[in-house]
Amino acid sequence: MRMEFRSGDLSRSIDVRLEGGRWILSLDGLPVAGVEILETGSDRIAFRRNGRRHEAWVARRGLERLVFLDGCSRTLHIGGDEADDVDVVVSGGPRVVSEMPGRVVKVLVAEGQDVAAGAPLLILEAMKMESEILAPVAGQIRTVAVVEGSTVAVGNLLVDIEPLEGTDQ
Amino acid sequence: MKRPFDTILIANRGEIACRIIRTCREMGLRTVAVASDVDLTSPHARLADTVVEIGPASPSESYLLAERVLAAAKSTGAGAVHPGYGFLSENAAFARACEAAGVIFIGPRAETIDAMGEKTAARRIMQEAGVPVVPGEYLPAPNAEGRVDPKALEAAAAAVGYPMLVKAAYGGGGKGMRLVRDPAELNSSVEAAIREAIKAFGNGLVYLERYLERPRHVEFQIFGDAHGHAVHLGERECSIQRRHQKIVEETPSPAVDAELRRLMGDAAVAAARAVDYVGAGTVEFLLDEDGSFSFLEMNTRLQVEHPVTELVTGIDLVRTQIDVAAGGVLPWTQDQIVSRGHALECRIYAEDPSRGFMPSTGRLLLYREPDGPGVRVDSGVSEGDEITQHYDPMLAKLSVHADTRAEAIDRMRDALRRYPILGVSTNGEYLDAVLDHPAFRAGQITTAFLEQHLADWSPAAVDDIVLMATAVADAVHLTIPRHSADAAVSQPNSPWARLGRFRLEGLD
Repeated sequence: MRMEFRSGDLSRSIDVRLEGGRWILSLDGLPVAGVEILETGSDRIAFRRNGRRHEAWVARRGLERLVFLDGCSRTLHIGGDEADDVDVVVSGGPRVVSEMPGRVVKVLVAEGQDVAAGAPLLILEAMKMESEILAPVAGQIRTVAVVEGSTVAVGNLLVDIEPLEGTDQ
Repeated sequence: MKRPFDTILIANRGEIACRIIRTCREMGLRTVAVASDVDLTSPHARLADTVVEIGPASPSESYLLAERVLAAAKSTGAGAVHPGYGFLSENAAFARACEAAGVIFIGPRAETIDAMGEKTAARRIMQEAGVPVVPGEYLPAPNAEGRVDPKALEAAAAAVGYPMLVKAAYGGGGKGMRLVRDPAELNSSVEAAIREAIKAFGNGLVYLERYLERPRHVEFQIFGDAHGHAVHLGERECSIQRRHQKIVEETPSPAVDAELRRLMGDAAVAAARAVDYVGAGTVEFLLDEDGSFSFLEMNTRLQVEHPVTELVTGIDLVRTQIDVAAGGVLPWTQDQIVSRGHALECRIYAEDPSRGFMPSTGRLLLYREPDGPGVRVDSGVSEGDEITQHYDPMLAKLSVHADTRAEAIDRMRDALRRYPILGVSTNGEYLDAVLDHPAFRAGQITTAFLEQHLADWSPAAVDDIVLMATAVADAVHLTIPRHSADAAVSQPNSPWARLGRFRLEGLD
């Protein structure tokens, strides 16, 4: 079985097969040595590497694979082309989207206003904590898509900024 | 001793409600949980003998409504209410309402909550008892728009001086708190603190306090009974804080030796005696590098971080709270309280350290707690639960007990590696970075620790082995039908053996 993973800009492919009771792995076409799979389940894999035993835990959410290994949790994205539609909305561009479900407590800017990079745009409250949402780039506020009291979901547009000319987006 | 009640209502949710229910069960007491509509199937509601729905998800329409909670106590025959921490735990009006309704409030007397909850009154009492306090000023109550009189604010700010903290008078846990370094930020910070305070504590009163740059936060657990006894159960070092929110706590403090413990403990007991304290409480101090300490505030509730005290003393604080509330005498004198070994606690939050610690919501797709000698988990969640934005993002407290501080750190780091939580992001990896830092290992910790040492922290790159393990797990997942997936985990022998089992069960 072959799987393609994306993590950030990186794309990797892994071949997995069971031969004579042993798991044979190859990464980007090259055989992997020194990894001994000890126990397998759909949500837990125990293996040995470099003389040490480790355990990985795996959960699935659509094309995402959530993995816990040695105290670290990572999210992997499966697939090549078809995976693009599950791409997480990237903030840091001129469109500021909500990364959290929550409520808009305060809007600090108005449409047409010039803002510096890092300027507070609005205050979002989630889980009883207030967070300032900052301008990712310098520019002019094109749209304020929410009002005070608005409830927003993950990925909702909050503020759209027309970047200053010559500013890298 | 015959108790005046046989049923306790727990006016809380999450891990603390679960923890209180467990002790009640050991004591043979019947338990009543209250739950908002979204919490009806949550662990605390499932763990109790009875559950009463008290309103919608928003705490101000459920867990903070004293009359609903009391009505639930009445209708279920609960003779006592344990408020836990947060919510109604430091609400004197609620304590009075309980008394008026003939229900025992498991906590100090309403007057004590009033005196200590009004944090400037607490400071005066401590000054009279000869304990130094951090300079601070009260502010008048905010108006309906959540603003305070600008003249009064200006005068108070001038008296306190910068940098200063804006703190919720009825607050705790870092909520309703703002650090102000620049006078230009004063107004907006005060307004933000008021909004958070109203939301979290139902009261928007805030005050200003001088901000010390690099103190340690060291607090003492105190206990008093209605028969004039008061003791302390040692200190807790809570200096590791992110935005005034404690994340790692331990006891004993690496900065407190026997002599300092005696001095601070005496001050803490003096504070308890000054208000005839009944029940469990905490006296918080700021400890400076030169060993001088000043009173910060007194919390009239069970603290989040109480497990570390329980681990080193072997005392169940909730059991003692219940016994004292029932009119009992403290079961120990100061000499009989002995601390052994070292205990650490880590607070596990549903938040994403790589995205500015934004709270993380979603379903807990996989959640397995570590166990083993010296490992304790206080949690209020289980696998499959939905983590919402309605409540505090703390999922659990992971505590360990070991012979020495170094061993406790090793034990905690191993336990964190055996604590898979998938579906929401957590601060687990960040906590490990704290524990592994040389300055933490050396015990050199102040409230500025995280800013000083971990401001640039980011998670490590994805190791190839993560991809490989995932690919193997997916291969297994695709080749076995869902219903036998769990069985496969408990058959960790040869993969062929398990696949054989699949053929028998799935196809034949």
